[in-house]
Amino acid sequence: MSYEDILYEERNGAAWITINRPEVYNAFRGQTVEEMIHAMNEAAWNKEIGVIVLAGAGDKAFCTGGDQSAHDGQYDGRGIIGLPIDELQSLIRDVPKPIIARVQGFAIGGGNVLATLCDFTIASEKAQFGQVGPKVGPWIQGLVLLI
Amino acid sequence: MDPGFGTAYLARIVGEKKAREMWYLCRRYSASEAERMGLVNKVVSHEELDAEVERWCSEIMEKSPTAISIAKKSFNLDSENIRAISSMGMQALSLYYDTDESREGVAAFNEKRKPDFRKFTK
Repeated sequence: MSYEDILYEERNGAAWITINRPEVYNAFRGQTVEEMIHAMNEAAWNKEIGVIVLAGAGDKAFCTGGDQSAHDGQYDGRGIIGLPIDELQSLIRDVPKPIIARVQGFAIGGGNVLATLCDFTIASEKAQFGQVGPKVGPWIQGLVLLI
Repeated sequence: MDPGFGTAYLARIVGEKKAREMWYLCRRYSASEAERMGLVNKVVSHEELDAEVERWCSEIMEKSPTAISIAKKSFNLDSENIRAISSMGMQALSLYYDTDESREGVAAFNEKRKPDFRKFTK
């Protein structure tokens, strides 16, 4: 599988899965989540890999949750809400290897949940954490950071 | 929104009071606040981040992978019921998305005004 929304790199036994959508503060759409699920499975069952790092590209955001521009009433993928995010969350727990969230910027909404689920979170002093669902309605969590 | 792992599991980490504060008030928390809350293992300078992550990775690589995987699964088992809360939560969320109260959030955002959720409360 070739990836469009993420970067996948193996180095020194660590698999780095990086959400590569800095133009939308690394918000995820259906395809992003599918690619993360695929990459996570690659890392999970590769015997050379002992640890997984989850990261966001650029300096501004780790991840800001579901990309609201990707949907109108539903997200643009499969699953109960149009994003297989529950599958990804389960996978973060089920892979038999530690996962480190590398947080260098915003970890907001669904992005904060991903970091929360990882075994470890290592943050730079510029990281910010929070939930936003009840503030803007759960639809536009990612975009709220753009204004 | 991720009721389940986003709420109940978060409460395991930061405690009920802080988790509810995070969800009800939607404030932002700095890295050092997050570290004090137990949400972050370690905070380093922006420039040091990758080196620090790599140090943790090498330490993990020196340990027994099977022992780590058993430990991970045993931690998970204790909070496994939260996976089902998440699944239930997603199902509820799909219904919430289809309400005027939820649409008000989107409309307010697009019109660059504060949302007035209360007028749509049933």
